[in-house]
Amino acid sequence: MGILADLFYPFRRPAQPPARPATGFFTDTTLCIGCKACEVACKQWNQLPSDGFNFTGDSYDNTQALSGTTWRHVVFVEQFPQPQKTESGFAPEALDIEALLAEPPAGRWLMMSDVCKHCGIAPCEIACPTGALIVNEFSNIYVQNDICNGCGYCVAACPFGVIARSPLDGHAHKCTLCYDRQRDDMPPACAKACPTGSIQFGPIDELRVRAHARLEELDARGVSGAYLYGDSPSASYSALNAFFLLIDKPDRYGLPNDPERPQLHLRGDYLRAAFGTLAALAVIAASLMSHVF
Amino acid sequence: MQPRIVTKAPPWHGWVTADLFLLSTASGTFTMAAMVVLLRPWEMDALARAAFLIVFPLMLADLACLILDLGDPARFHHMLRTFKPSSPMSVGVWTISAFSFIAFLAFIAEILDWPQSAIRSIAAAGLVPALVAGAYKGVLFSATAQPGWRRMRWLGGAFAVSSASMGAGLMLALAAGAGQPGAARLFRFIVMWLLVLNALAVRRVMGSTATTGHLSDVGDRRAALRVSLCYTGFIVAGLGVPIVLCAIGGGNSTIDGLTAAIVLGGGLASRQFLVALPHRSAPNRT
Amino acid sequence: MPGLGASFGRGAATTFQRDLANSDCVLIMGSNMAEAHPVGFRWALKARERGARLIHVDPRFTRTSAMADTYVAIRAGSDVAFLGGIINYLLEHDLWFHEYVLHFTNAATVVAEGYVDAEDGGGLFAGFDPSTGRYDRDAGAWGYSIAGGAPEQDPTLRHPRCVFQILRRHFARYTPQTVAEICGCSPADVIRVAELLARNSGRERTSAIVYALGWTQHSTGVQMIRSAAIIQLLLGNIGRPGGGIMAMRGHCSIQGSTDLPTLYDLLPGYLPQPAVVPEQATLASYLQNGRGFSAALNNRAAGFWQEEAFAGYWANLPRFMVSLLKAWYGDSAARENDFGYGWLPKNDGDHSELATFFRMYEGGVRGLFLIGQNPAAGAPNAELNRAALRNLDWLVVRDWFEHESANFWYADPRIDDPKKIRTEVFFLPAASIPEKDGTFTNTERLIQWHEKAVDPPGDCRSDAWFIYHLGKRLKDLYRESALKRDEPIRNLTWNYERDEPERLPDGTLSRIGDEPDIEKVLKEINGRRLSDGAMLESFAELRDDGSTACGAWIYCGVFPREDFNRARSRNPAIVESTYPEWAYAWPANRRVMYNRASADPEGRPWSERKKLIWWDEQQRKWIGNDVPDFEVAKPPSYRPGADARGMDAIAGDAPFIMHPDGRGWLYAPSGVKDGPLPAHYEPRESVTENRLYETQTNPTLREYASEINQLARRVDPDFPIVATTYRLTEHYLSGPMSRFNSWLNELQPEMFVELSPELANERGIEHRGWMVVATPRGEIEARAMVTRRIRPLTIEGRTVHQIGLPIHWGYAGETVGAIANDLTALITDPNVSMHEAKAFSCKVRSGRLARSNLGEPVPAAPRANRSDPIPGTPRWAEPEGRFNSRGLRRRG
Repeated sequence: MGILADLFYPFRRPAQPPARPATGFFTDTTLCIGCKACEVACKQWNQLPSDGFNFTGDSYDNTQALSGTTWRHVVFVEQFPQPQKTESGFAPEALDIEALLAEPPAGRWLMMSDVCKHCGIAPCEIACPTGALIVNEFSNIYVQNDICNGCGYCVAACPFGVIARSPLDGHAHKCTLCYDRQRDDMPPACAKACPTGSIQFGPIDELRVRAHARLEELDARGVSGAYLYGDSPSASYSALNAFFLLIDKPDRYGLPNDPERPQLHLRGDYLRAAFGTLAALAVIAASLMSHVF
Repeated sequence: MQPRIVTKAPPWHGWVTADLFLLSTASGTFTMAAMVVLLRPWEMDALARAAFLIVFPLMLADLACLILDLGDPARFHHMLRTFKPSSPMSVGVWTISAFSFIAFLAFIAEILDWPQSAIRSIAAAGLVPALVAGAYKGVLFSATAQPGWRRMRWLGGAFAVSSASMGAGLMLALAAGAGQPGAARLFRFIVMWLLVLNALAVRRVMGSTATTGHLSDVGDRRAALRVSLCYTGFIVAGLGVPIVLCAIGGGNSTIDGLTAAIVLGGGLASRQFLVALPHRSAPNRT
Repeated sequence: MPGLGASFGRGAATTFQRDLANSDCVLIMGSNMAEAHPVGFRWALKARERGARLIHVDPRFTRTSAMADTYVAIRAGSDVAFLGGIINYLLEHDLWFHEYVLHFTNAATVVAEGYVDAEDGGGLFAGFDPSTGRYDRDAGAWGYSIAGGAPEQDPTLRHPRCVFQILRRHFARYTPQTVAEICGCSPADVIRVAELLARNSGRERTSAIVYALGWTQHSTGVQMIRSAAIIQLLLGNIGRPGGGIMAMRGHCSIQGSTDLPTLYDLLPGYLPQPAVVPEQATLASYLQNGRGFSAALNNRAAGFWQEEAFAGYWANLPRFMVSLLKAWYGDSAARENDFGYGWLPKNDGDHSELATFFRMYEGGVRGLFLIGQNPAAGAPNAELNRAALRNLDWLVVRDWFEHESANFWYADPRIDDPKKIRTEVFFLPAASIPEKDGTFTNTERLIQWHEKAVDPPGDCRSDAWFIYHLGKRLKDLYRESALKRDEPIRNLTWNYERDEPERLPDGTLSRIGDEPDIEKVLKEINGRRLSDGAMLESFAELRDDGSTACGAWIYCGVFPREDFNRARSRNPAIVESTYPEWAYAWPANRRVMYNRASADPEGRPWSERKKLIWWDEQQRKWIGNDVPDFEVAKPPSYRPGADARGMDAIAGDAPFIMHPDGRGWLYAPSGVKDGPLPAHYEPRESVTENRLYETQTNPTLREYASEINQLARRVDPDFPIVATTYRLTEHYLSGPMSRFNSWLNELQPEMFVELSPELANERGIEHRGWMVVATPRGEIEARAMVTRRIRPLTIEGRTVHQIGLPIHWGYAGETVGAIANDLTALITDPNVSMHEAKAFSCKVRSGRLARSNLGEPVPAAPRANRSDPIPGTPRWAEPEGRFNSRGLRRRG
């Protein structure tokens, strides 16, 4: 009985829920204080186990990367120049107070809460051979836990290194954007827990407007180098439904500078494969049909 | 500063290597046998029969590898709930399923000694799935985000040729073993030219290395050097030697056997190398 | 918190965290707010987003520094010097808020003749008695000069003994250059911070100062806070929106535990604990001589105070005290028996925590209840504390997990033979916060109710349950006793029995039948009118004739009606800058204390932008966005007559109503035991001589000299490195709550020491490698975290290294690690018996200890039922991560 049910279960197609406005995350790294409340809230809500206790010495980042059981991960980047000797011969009269007040801090410590990007066109979802990965009614990329068979092709396809196969059950897991909470009209656990509003959740259109306003605000405040990552599509990649406001190059935060959709050349690859096939076939056919032998 | 590699290597190891090897061999062998049955049935019918008898067990072993490589082997059939041309994996699964079925038919046909016409029909029907099965893995790898794979635009073509040459290699071994010097001579010729083609395809794969440099994806320099050396070794030992052997080793069944072994062994080694590539370049926890 | 108490009148943060968003500049110093108070920090961040400048001054570059616009690295323990430099700069550059200072502070008050400043006394103020190491309380040398029954004033501020001139002289040597040499920063840093504060203060703008344990855990902690108070008074930032001093507390309800104190020298509501002295033998003499405020702080100053102490709000002391006694002793308390005053325990010495543990170590304590505390890892000189625990006959520990103070007898790796430990330990499992009703009083005096969500598992019970049933059993034991000494227990009111069986939020009956009714406790604290049993709405209703009962006068109003628990109110509506319906802030739901100062002497807001309350001439009362911290109908023009007493003695332009003169104290004539003005003293263990005074360290600090508590010599060359302790966001306290949680442990799995690359190079210490830190008390091994966030400082031309030690590890828990407090010393400041863990000296080397003392971790608890479905829950409703390898089957 059980075996039969298991065999037929995946072929059932329940009715799809009606589409809802697309939602996503806007993660503003200028507000991130690295408290990791998002990591803990995520694990607590989703009942994810710890990934083990490993002291890395990589600043305060001891979880290192997103994994099948870590769906939020806070990146820490220490950027400090070599300290200089303090100036000698201090003359208070000659001090330019205005210049003194405008002086930027000597170093910085960047923090960013990384998460699944919920790509507008998601390579993992395209690659998935079972249809376990779907675009749900909130336009979020969601792994159907009961369908995934752990082939691992989504892992290979993700240019951000997000989705991973858990050794606990052999299935692929990643951020669900708290699908279960969204269905109950609650924000995802991480956004709820974020004390500073670094992680913002909402309809994606609204978030993009908010993000652009935020950029202007930062610009007005004189924060240099702020830009949006994944806000709009590039030549090689779609826009991200979980996008970021960064103030340094993406790879400083562990993001690819120029992500490329793996299926970008798929048609050509198929054609080249066909070409190779035909070439081989031609060699074989020509040899077999040759009267030399 | 080298950009940090952020992709996760897929959880693919030995089972996948074995799958690549078995599938290539099986599809190549079936292709060869089918072509023989279709184009030169009068001469090498016995060889073709032997080949059909080998293909199905190879496919069985391959299916076992495919299933065992899954995170959840009880759910292999979940891949059959959908067909997605956008996913080479999905295309492959359907192809393999079709091909396995035809391989099974061919096996039964040989055992039960079905008439020639039936076998010819089976061979004709199986040719397309066999060819696709031999080539799709390359596309499967190149359509990922993995360093080392993602720029191998010609990997599909290379797989197609490689699978065919491995099939031809096996046929050569069969012919040599069965003491059919004429057939051996033919297959030696095919192996040689397929290997030349293979070298061209590998050159295309490597060509992108030289120009757009997918080795730049590889984090550290020493790893990049190792990769280059592997490539070189692969070209020289895996392709050059058997080509030379084919060209000079006429009539000696031992040399033919050696040639076949090198072709098949090279196929296995190059596939293992390919599977390990992302693990080598992307340090992470999978 | 005498630092704030002496300066403003009440020992609590003057504002609330949300108000930080209204600031134009926030100076965070002695606090790592982003890491230790991340939720409150959102308001500081909000201020930054609104254009405010965020300044962080700290020995380490922390996550707070990362968010700040300006960061200054200083040597741990040099804060008074740095703040003194700011005061100096404000005074010398005339950047202070003249009108505010003149009217609202005691700048113009003239100090009595005979006062000697630290400037002239080599670092000692008048009245120091070297034989006792204390300032003589009765010498009166710090008092005001009295003329005509009132303190002498000089509104021109020119009198050489007026507070303003004393202040100026006192800080004259705290120039940016001098201060920079003490702190190891650059003079420009001092000027930058001073300028930022000054430019963001005044009529139109306000600045706030935030501090936490980084100021309190010093031998000069109270004076650091006093320095901040002086700055804020000079800049006119107290009592105004976006201004004030925000004291960030170290524990979630530590404010509550000083309000309803677990302190030995205070009764609820900051009433002084009666002492074993003839002057306090009876209620009348206590009320006469205890003199509320000054006695509460155990300090009595010169004649002015003897005469006039009945001015200000503390004149109500008899009402508060009698109502408290009625709350405690009920009908047994009557006028005839002094309302049971005699039953109160009388204080006979220093019974603070650290002093008690030292006595325990010496064998003077036999038994101990340890409830929610972990001294074996969390108290200064942890080995001394463990030795003290080992010296007990019995020990009861109530906590969530078996932490270091409960398992020391077998798990401490320094213990060879558990059989030799004589202490009998009883470990009782405690309920956690969502498993019990109760209140938190947080740093902003906000009393917040938390509801019980679920029953605690197994035998876990709330602490209230334990205390209540312990009390019941004790009362049973003494029920028949006729002995006089047993009367305190027999007469104690002790009925918090539930009227109805307890129900959980989902309506089901609680499994635990005998939890006390916590709302009854809060009602008793709030108080009732005894004639009709009605709840009191305000402490103004309290009487000293025994007709009211109130457990803590400051909390009066939190439960104004039988069915209205204001601590429970959850209305987030914002009224201008406050949110009056969110929980309840004592006193009287005031959010900003001393808010009379938000209006000028005539009662008009200093500016439209920074208005909070103001005098409305039509209505003849104070109105605005907050509950006025002032008599509502007292006009700004009111001036007390010569005979005025109590609140009548406070003028209409005197916002600090708890002080007898109604003013903020730049100069504290009483209330602080180590000087009326802050003076820079080096930490007890310092790497440098005091550059400002001959007196090296706080002359009044207490050293618990002992074999087990050895201290470094003065500027000890053997211990050349400055060490400071700190917290991480990922753990809490010494870890008894966090080190048993693998979600937190994976975030910070191991004890480490933060040090600079320069020091690491010098000592051959490798990043991530092991290193040893040693002080005269002990040595520990830990991982090295080599980071540029710690920078070497130049002090007097030489390089001084600092290291940072998180306090979170011990030998119990899923992750174990060295105990930072094995290094710290038991020395206490004179005011609040606080130890000095934030600045001490040590030495470091690469490598490990000969005998590792890290301990064995307990196995990480697997997350419950990881792969089993939750009974009665559809599969799709189960948590996503509840991985189920057989997920298909048994779907809901």
